Amino acid sequence: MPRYRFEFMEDLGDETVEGIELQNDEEAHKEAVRCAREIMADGVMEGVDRTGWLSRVFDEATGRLVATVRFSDLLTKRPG
Amino acid sequence: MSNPFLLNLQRRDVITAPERAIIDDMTQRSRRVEAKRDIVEEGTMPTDSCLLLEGMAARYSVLDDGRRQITAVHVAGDFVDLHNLLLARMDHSVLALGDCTVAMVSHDFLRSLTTTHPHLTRLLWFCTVLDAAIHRQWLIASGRLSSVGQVAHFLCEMFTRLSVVELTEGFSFRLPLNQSELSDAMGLSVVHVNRTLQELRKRGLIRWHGDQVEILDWPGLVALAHFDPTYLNLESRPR
Repeated sequence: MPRYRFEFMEDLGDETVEGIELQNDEEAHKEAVRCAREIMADGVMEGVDRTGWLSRVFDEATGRLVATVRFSDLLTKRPG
Repeated sequence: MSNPFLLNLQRRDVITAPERAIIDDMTQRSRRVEAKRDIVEEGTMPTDSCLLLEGMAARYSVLDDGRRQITAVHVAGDFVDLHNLLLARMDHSVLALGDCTVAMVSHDFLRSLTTTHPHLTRLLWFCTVLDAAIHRQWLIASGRLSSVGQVAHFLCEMFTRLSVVELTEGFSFRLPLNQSELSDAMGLSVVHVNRTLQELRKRGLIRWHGDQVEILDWPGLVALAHFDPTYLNLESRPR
């Protein structure tokens, strides 16, 4: 299975998660969305707004950018 | 090697010599299960219950979209499907996380035990009640703690349960879960679990290399996890 690198960017610095094996690019994108939602949910519990974060997913073998997820883009739905 | 089931029970009550002999009998018929193989499969109607003698196992269910949720992790000395004696059909599967040895305890034997040995019967009942207590704590941890707190709670619990069956060395223990299995147990994405472990390392609370976990700051981990071992019923008393 291909391995992916997930980079997270926030105001105070970056962090990276490497070596995540996933079936394909689509799964890697879904994983980035899932993780972004969990990070924001943790932020809500801690009283920290992480909607300004961004994550980028790279194919580790080629360095190709697979997906970019802006956390704020995941909160577009309004109640109603 | 000590019988881990006996260690588990002896921590909670006094076990008489005749009861010890029965427990030893119980563990005579055993089989090896390779890592990542099912010990018990969903939908089957086993005629034995499996007592874990070596290794670790996970109860899990798979959703119709293929996602897996691990609902319990068992250590040596735990029955992984004692409830099956009464429920009959498995509503979930049990996976060997690492190589395991399990004793196959026949339901006929367990049924006869319930008519002849009331104290051992209560202790078997205790095992299922303890499983339920652990499930309640997992529910609280997943519902009320942040991800880092939830993982910290899991590590505190594993350390405590493994210490009962003498499988810890100082603050180190073997935990044969990969990050995918840990994420399925926590109900979190693999990437977020990975970030969470990085956070625990960064705070100087744990070291995790391969399948070896070392707790570097027990009070710090306990505080982060809001861990209170009362639910593990570790005191010895007549039951």
